Amino acid sequence: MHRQQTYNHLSDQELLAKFSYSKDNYWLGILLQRYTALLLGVAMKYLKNKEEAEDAVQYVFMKCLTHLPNEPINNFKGWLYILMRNHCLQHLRDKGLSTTEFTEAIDAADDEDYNSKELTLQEMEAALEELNEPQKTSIELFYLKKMSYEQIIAQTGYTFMQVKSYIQNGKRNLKLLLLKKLNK
Amino acid sequence: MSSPNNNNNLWQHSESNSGLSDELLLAYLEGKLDEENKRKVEAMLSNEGMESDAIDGLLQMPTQQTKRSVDKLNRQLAMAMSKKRRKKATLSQLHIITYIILILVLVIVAFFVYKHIAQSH
Repeated sequence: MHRQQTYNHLSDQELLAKFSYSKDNYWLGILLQRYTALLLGVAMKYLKNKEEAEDAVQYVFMKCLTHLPNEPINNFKGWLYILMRNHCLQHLRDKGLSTTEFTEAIDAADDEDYNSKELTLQEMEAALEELNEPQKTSIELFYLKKMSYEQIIAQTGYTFMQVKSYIQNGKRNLKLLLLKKLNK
Repeated sequence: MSSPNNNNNLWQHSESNSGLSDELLLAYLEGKLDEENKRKVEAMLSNEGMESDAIDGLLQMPTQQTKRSVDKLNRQLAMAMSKKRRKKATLSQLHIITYIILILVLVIVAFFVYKHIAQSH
């Protein structure tokens, strides 16, 4: 981990370029170590088992070391995320578990075709009113009152996961409501 | 709480890339970030994506356990890489030895050919 800190000034793209030029796995290793905790977290979310999650991270590391595509990767983090998610979903399918819940969430997360348009404050406020109470409260406290998750938890009694989920779902619903209003 | 300077250093990698670094994520989980940096991290967690999924997973185990697992995985990665590098180095050493032997054989053959031509004249 210490040597990784030496290269914090280099972006992922620069490390990938160094690897492509030298074909030295050293650079790829530094790049992968940047994402160990994130990959472990994603694997834990899907597999819910520490040993299986560690194995999944090792699998992704080995896949990168042996099968990194020759084509340039523009978003290495995004690419790693998809690789890990697909591996976890495949692992769950192999175990005979349903992955519908996850794939629905992923489809929603991948829906990034929203183009920002001019919105008035009134339209935003009106859309906010249409959200359900927990989503509205969480969004107002986080974005308008600039509260931390900890403060929101203290004030509302929601759990950490609930606050995060209410904000995410609230944002997604808000986006849909605003799009609907704009298309009217 | 760590000092603001330390907190700012943690953002160096994140600023050159889109997203949250492992160090920042672990510092957040350990409660080591000041209010400003905590807010930046939470703004990222409020978006769907890798960071959000990762925090969902990491909250399922104690932070010290996460740190141990991350260290273990990084050590295993370093070992796998050094094995590959050693293998690569051994292969290039083999190539060098093969080239030297080939050159020596060519020099010896050239010497005998030259000697043979000289004798026949």
